[in-house]
Amino acid sequence: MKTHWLFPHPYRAIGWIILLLLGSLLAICSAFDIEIELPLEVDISQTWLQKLYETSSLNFSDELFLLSFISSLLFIAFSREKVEDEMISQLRLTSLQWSLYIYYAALALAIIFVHGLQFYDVMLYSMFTVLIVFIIRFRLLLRKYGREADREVLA
Amino acid sequence: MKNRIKVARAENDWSQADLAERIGVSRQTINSIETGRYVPSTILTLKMAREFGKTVEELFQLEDED
Repeated sequence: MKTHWLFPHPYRAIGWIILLLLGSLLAICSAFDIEIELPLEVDISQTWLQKLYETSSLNFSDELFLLSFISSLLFIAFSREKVEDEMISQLRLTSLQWSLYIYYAALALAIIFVHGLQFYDVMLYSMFTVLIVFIIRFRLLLRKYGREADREVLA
Repeated sequence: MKNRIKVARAENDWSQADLAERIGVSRQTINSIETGRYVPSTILTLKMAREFGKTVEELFQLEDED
């Protein structure tokens, strides 16, 4: 079956590798209170950004970290399955709908209960909620369906 | 919608995995179709009918609530 807008199957493993590397790096950095600054200094002194940020250079370590994190989640979430078929596509769509509902329900709770600067943290974490909830929901569904098919073989 | 996929498989002595491979879907999908949890597309029903050498109506029947 032809499916659109999915990464090739091996990208899922690549996504997990990037995620594990970033996760370990983050764990080490927070455990030893280290701040990593890669040599990604970009000179903005001649651009309109200088006025906006009142600085002549920006370090893109954070940006690289966030983009890698989002890419790894996207790879894990949207890689083709080994056997990709119409039911898997449907499971993917329903999981996506489910994760959007969870995301907005969680956001609604945060809007009511979280105030002030703490709401900034909520927005930061909520950037990843949809993808993380989607991955968990989709993988659990696939596992459930797989287990049921296994039981059928044994029956 | 009810179906007779399981019976047709037994007649041909095919496992779910055999049928899945023949029509290019996952084993989970065959299992879900047999248990009525997933209603396949027209293309997939036609493929199954072709593999079994039966008509679609022989494999799938509408129920009152459909």
